Amino acid sequence: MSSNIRLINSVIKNRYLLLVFRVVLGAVFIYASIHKILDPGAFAESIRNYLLLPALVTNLVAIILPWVEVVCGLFLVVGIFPRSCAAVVSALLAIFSAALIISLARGLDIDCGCFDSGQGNETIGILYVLRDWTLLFMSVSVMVYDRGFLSLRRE
Amino acid sequence: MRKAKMNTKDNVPVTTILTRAALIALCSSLVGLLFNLVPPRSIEYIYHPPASVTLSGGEARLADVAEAYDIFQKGAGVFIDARSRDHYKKGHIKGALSLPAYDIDSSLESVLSVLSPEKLVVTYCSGVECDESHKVAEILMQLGYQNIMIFATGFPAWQTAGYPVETGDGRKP
Repeated sequence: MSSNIRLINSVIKNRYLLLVFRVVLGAVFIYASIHKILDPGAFAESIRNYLLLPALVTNLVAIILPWVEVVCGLFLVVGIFPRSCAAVVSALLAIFSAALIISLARGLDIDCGCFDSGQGNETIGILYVLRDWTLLFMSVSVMVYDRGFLSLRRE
Repeated sequence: MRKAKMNTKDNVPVTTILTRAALIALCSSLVGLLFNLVPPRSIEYIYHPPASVTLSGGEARLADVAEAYDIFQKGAGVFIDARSRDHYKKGHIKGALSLPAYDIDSSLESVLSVLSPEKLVVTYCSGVECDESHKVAEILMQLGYQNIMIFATGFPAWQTAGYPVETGDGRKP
């Protein structure tokens, strides 16, 4: 049992695997931010559909959030403060998956707004939660174990 | 637990990581706030829901969930559920009449018999992404009913707020 844990541990700490995690996470976040930056109004509408935040602040979130995503995404890809960025990304993913779970539990039939600012082809489902958790696992691994392999500014 | 691990295995303390994380989030937020000043892609910093929407039959006012509940409590208007009959049966705003936008002929006559042109009508469907409430509002306006509101966040918002809901065929007009 403990040897299994040690094996898993050594796999997660593998610097090549952590590099893959870092770059994939960064690329996903950069990609996710593009549509939101190009059309903040549609993204704000997407946020309102979740019925979780007061409508007043939804524009503000739609203005800010994509930039946090794109900056952390870029920093993760090139390796600038990768662990700190992974911490930000982990917090975001935890919030996103909570929002998805609450909305699914409430039976909301809404668009995810994850990648395309709510164009109507991403209706939320349990797969979206699993996708979030996969990314969350990757970002927590980077946050805890990354040692700056091929990074511009390691930490 | 995670913090303890971090501290023992490297020399960057977890507090430094978290401080940097907060600073990165803060600085990129500021970039976003500034970028929003650039015209082509800027939106209002604070969202103000539009007060009304222009339909082909006239101007329909928009109600949020608080206004809708106020009307409900005071009995100041008739609620019309514009979703399909199946959705209506599974649950609708208490006392709402069913007038499905995509099967309007089936119940238009019976619904019209209880409406009067002066009486406030509130239409709703399953949230901001659906268009049935707008369609029904439009049809009623073309028929001469001008006192119409659209409750845009619709049934999901009503249900989430915990306001009265009923199931089944509801009251027959």
